[in-house]
Amino acid sequence: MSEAYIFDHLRTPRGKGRPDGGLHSVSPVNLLAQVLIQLRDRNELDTALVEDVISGCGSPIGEQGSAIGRSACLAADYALTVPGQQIHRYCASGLEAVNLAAAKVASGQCELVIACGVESMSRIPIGSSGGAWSSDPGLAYKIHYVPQGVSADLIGTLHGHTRADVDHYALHSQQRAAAAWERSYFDRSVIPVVDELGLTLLERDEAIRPSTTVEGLAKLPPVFEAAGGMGFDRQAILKFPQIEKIEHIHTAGNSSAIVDGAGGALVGSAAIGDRLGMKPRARIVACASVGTDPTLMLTGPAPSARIALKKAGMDAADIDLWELNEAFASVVLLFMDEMQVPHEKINVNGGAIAMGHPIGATGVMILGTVLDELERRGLGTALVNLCIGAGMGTAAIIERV
Amino acid sequence: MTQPTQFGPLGYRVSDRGVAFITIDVSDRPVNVLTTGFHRAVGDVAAHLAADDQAVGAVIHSGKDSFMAGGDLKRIVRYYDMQRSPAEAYEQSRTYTESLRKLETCGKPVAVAVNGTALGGGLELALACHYRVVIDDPKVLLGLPEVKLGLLPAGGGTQRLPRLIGLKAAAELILSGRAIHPQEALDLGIIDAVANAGELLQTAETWVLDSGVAQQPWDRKGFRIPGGSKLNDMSISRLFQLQTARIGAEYRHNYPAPIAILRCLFNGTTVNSIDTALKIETREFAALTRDPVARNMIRTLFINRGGQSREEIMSKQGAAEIRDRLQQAYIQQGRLLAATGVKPALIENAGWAAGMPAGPLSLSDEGEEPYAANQALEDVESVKQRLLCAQALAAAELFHTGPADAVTIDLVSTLCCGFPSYTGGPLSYIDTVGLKTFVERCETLDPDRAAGLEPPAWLQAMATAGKRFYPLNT
Repeated sequence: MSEAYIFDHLRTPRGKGRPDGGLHSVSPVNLLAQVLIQLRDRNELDTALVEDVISGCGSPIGEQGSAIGRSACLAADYALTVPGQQIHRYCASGLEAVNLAAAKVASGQCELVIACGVESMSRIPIGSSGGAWSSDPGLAYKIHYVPQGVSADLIGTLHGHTRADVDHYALHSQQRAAAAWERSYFDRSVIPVVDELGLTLLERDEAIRPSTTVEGLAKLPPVFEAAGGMGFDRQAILKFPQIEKIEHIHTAGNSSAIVDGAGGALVGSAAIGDRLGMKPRARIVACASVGTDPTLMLTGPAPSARIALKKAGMDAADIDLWELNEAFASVVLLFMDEMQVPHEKINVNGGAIAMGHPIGATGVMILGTVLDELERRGLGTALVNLCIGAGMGTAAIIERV
Repeated sequence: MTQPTQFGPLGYRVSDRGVAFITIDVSDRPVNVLTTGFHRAVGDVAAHLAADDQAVGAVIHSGKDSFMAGGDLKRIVRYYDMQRSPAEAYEQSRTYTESLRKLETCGKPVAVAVNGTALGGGLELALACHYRVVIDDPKVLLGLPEVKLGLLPAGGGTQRLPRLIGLKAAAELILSGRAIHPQEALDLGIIDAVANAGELLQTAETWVLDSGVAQQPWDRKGFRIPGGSKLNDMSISRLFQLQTARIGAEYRHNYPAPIAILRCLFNGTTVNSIDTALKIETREFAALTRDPVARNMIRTLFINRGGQSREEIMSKQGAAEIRDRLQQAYIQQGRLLAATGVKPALIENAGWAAGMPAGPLSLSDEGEEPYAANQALEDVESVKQRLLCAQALAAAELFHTGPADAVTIDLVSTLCCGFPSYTGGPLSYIDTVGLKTFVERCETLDPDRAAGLEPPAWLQAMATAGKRFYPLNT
């Protein structure tokens, strides 16, 4: 058994997930290929040494179908001998790609793997690939499926989160993300996306709203109230009868933005690092995935974090920085409370509420974000995790080397 | 005209122009009812038509002044008590659907002239024909109301209707059990034409002779369900998600039929082959007949009700007392639960989840019960059971004292007090749970005898003797 290291990571900026978004004109395979090209070029990599390209993707159909990891290798002119695949754990696919890559390296099966992810939500909307757990009446009924926004509101109600609580959290995400861009914290790792002529299409996350105010956020309508009223609230209350009704507090302003984007990380063994003269930036210490109640859906982060910490032989107090995907504000508020993590230590440079959540890519993107910040601050360990559809959580602990 | 042949309730006579007139006339009944004899006869006549060189096609019509309005409820209500095995239930449920399939694929065009209300299996017969003309009369109703009986249309209705009018419209009609008038059916595309009484048969016959097509759209190569049927179509995903949630919210997981219907619609249309789809439908139907809810609903809401209105039922002697005692027991149990520290929201939700129209505390007019500061998260299943058992025990006491019989008590309770219809009434609830199990359940729920759920000695004796409130097969 050896250890798995992260040698490099990078990501595209996140374009708005709409036809007028900056990355809408770029096909997902192209988006991912640009990540692979930059990983190759920045590290002067002989791609023939890459033994697998594992890509996360949340709606793997149409242009995102058929093992997009492999397609991107071909598009990026990687050596023909490089295989690729696509994996699916919904919103955590990008981190799961890293975790799988780490397992392949640590087990000795591979020496060098690229873990990446891509999602073009402007071209292939969320939910496009259907799925039994939400849409097969045989299963959805039995597990009391509700859409994720209703789950978020359910969590808020169960834990007493107010509209003001979640809006304030959202404000911080916007402010932190805007400040991080302002201070060039992301410059090192965000690669501009170019068009067929090589001209830059997008170089900054464009969904951020730096002039967000709490007053402005308070005016936004609760997005999931209508769906709740169509029967989903009652399906939830049948399972959680201790609540009178679900307070719908999540809006477009305090939920993750819909965006396009891709990201990747170079994962390998110490030996390959030595051979190629690549200095590792972090060690992947522990990984975990866990299942939780599917109706609540988004309560996986705390259990997955605890399992990862236990595997690492660590306590929460040992973690310097936390990075939990901001699918919905209540998810993070709940986690901070459950794990006793102060807001100063978590999502310190903003998150998906401001910058967006390109489903299959987010996991590897936020890993990179927190690694950069560990380096910037000279800190040691970070825990990255995400809540996931169908009630799961995936976590990874990294340690700077 | 050739000499008529008889296939059970179906008469068969070929006209000089080669059209076989198939006349539905169930003997000894004022209206045509779907009997097992009828189920078989349709298949027999289809085979005969296929082999009859004299016949170029057929017109099916009624020999009565009505068409075909329903199933034989007295037969269907017995299914559960028959305790058929899954294989038996499946095999015995195949007859009608296989007969209709034979008719549909006999190789000759079949038209149906519908001269009156066609519900359930009567409409399913029409859907299996290649051409449907209905009398232009706004009093006529067409529909698939099986959901109201705790069942589903087992003669291909869940598969032919979406293949005619798409999943969204078919789901709405079959899940609501709603009956529509001929004009709406024409607009939706369920039927091909309307005609007035004098021209009904002729219209059907003319179609057979002039344009008769012996193949259904869904048996043609390349057929696609109108509006789509696959989950990668987001409008289809959304349809199933929303309907699933709606069914959960409305029926609170107490009724197996609505979600079984939605499963039929889903599983049967995501496969294109109608033969596979029909097997799925039969499996779901057979499973429903092995569940007591259909029996309970049919018995209470149809057979025993016998068309009486709520007012008529309430005007019977003792009805008011039944209503009051049951409501008292419900409210009292709710207040007891609150007093022991169960969260009011949970009590109310438990009542609702058990199928009551409202929670017990909202019905109580004594103001808010002061509840204990330490609110326990009582298991909602126990709370549901306590709320139902309290009412069941009150009903049992009324039965024991008399004079009201079990049927009256259950009718009043279900139709006038909101006791949930999936149980068939409080006494039917005890039968369904099983007297022995009911007695044990009461003892488990109220071990300290503090909640008024102690089963009386006479009920325990009844349980020990293996007796029931309702005789088997009723």
